[in-house]
Amino acid sequence: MSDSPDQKPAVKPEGSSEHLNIKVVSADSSEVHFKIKRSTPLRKLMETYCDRTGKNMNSVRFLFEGNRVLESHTPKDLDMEDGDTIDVMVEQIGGQ
Amino acid sequence: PKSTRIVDLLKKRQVTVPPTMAEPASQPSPTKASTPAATQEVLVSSTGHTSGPSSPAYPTSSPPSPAHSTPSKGQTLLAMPCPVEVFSVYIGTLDPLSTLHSPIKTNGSPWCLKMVKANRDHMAASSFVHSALMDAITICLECTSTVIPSVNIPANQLEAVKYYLEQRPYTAAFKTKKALSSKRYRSYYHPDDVDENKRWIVCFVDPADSDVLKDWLSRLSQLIGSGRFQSQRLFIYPFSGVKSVTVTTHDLYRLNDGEYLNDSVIEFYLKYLQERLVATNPELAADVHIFNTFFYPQLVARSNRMGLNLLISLNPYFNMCAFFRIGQILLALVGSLATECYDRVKSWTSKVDIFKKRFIIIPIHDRAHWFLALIVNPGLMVSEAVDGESTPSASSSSPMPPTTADSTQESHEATATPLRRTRSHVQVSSTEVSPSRERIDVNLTNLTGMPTESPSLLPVPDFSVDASIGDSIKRRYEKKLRSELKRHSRSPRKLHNVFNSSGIFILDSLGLHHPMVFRILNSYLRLEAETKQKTVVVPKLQGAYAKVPLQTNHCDCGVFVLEYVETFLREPTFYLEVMMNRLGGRNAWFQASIIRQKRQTIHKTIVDLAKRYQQHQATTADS
Repeated sequence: MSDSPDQKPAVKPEGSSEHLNIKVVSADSSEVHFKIKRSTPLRKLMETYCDRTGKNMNSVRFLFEGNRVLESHTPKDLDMEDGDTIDVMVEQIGGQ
Repeated sequence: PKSTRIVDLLKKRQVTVPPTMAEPASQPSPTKASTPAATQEVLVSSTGHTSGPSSPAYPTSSPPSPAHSTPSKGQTLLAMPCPVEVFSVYIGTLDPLSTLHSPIKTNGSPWCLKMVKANRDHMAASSFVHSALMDAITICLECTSTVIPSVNIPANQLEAVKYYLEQRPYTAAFKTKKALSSKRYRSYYHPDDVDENKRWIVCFVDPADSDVLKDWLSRLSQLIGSGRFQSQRLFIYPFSGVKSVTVTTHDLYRLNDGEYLNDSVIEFYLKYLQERLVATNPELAADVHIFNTFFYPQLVARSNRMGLNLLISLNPYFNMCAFFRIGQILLALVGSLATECYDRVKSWTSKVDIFKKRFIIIPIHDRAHWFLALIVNPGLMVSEAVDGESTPSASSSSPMPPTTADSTQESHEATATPLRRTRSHVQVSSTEVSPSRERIDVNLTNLTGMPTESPSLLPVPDFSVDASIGDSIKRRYEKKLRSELKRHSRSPRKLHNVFNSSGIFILDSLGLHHPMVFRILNSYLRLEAETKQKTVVVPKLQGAYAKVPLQTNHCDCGVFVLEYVETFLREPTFYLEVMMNRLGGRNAWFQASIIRQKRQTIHKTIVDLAKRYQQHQATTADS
C-alpha cells in the first residue's frame, strides 16, 4: 500500500486552471494526491487509485462530502474545488 | 440447460490435465447478457487415483488408506479459474487424507471443492473465499440431504457451521469438525494454509451418486452465471444526481438468505425509502435526514479511537476543573481531537440544517454488526444565536416560524413547538387514513391529563404495503397498547410528549448497548451547532435503547435495521411514543418473522429497479 503523500500519478498534468488537485484519503489516513481535469470522469482517478494501492474497485467506496462518487461523475458535477478531499472507505458487511 | 452443458463439457473433456495448468475452454454459461471480462475455464480430467490430480498444488505424502477412502470409478476434476482472476476453483475427487496435511478422520468422501488463492488482492480474495465457502457448504448440505435422504443434517447445525466460518475463519475448522464429526460431510480450512497467499477450503460431499456432481456443477455454473464471482453494475439510485449509490450484482447477492448485508444495500434501501417518502409524504420526508453508513466511522477517530472517546466522555469533568491548568490543557486536547473528527464530516451537512429536522437516521456499522441510531428533535438542543436568552422549549420554535394551524388542540399547548409538530402531523395524516388524526387527539389528551376512553383510542395504522402482516401484528398489540395507554393516562406519571422531547435512540437487533455512540453523537451535535452558529442550550441529548424486535439468527441485523427505519417512517409519531414511553414491548414494531420475507422484498425491489434503470437509460439515450 502506498502512502507516500507526494505521488502525483494519475491523470497527466496538462493545462492549468482546468486542473484540480484532489487528495484521496484512505481509512488508515494515508493520502494519495491526484491532479485531474474538471471534465474527466472520476472513474479514471478511482481506477488509478485502486491500481496503486492494490485494492479492488468493488470493495472500496469513494465518498465526497458524504455522497458516493460514481464512476461517471466528473469533478464539475460534484462542484469540486482545488484541494478537496475524497475519502476512501472499505466495504462494510455486517449481520450478527 | 446450463447444467447439461457443463456435464457435456465434462464428458467431452475426459482428459488428464494437471489442475494447476488450467487451459482456457469455452464458457460454460454465457448467461444473462453479462459479458464476463475474463474467461471461465472448465477443465476436466479423469485420473486413476485420488491423490493424482491434487498433487501439483499439494504434494501428497501418503496414499490414502483404503479404510478411509472410498475408491471412486472415474475421478473428475474440474478447474475453474474464476472471472475475478483471483482464484482457481477446483472441484474434483481429491482424497482428503492425502491432500490435507494433518489427518482428519473421514469415512471417505472424495467429492470436494478446493479453492486456491492465487492472487494478491486480499480483500477480494477473502470475500470471495468467504462467499464461495458459504455456497459450498450450502450446496454440500443440500446435495447430501436431497440426493442421499439417509443423511439428515439438522438446520441448526448448518447454522452453526456457517456462523463459525463466518466469524472465525481461522478457527473454524476445529469447531466445524467438532460440530459435524459424526456427519458424513466435512468442511475444513487447513490451518497451515490459512495465510495471505494460500487459503483453501475443502468440502466433502458423499459420493454415492454421480447426480451429486451434476447437481454440484449446475449449481456452480449458476453461481458463476449469476455474477457471483464478478460484480456487475445494475443501476445507480436515484437514477440521476450526485447523491446516488451504485448497486451491483454483488450487493444483490448479499440479500440471499444467510448473507450479511453490506453498506451498499443499506444505503440503497434507505435512499429508496426516502425517495418513496418524498413521493407519498413530502412533509415527513422534509423532516427526516438520513446519513449514510460511513458517517459514524468518520466521526470516530481512527488513530486514537479509545483515547478520543475516553476524552470525550470525560469532557464535562474537564469543564469543572477548567480553572486549573490541567483542565485547560485537557479541554484543548479534547477540543482538537473532536474537531479533527468532526472536520471529516463537516462538509456533509453543508447544505442541510440538521437542527431543522425532526429525525436523523444514522445506520451504524460496528464490528460486523449493523444497528441504528435515531436522533429525535435535535432542534431542541440549540437556539439560534440571535435569541440566546430564550428557554430551550420556547427557543426551539424559532427555527420554524410559528404555525397558523387551526387545530383545536391549540389551546392545550403552551409552546409553539408542539403546534408545529402537530401541524406537520396533521398534514402527514391527510395522505393516509384518518386514524392518524385521532392519534394526535390521543397524544394531546394524554398530555393534558384527560383520560380517553374512546374505542378509537389507538388507530389501526395504514399498513398498505404489507397489509396482511402489519394488520395482524397491530391487531394483536393494539389491545395491549391501548390498555397501557389508558393506564398511563390515569397514572400520575406523565407520558413524554413526543413532540417536545428530544433524544438519541439506539435500535439494536441484538439488544447490545453502545454508550460510546451517545457520546460521540452528542459531541457531533455540539460541534455542528457551533458551525451553524447556533447556541447550544441543552448540551447533551438523553440516550436510550429502544425496545425493538430482536434477531434470532446471526445474519439478519442489516435487514432489521432497514425494517426499523421503514416501520418507523410509516408512522413516526406512533413509534416514537412507543419508544419514549416504553409501551407495547418489543413486538409493537413488527414480528421478527417478516424479516425473511423482507430480504425477498428488497431483492425484488432491486431487480425491478434494475429493469427500470435500463429503460431509463434507453429513453435518455434516445432523447
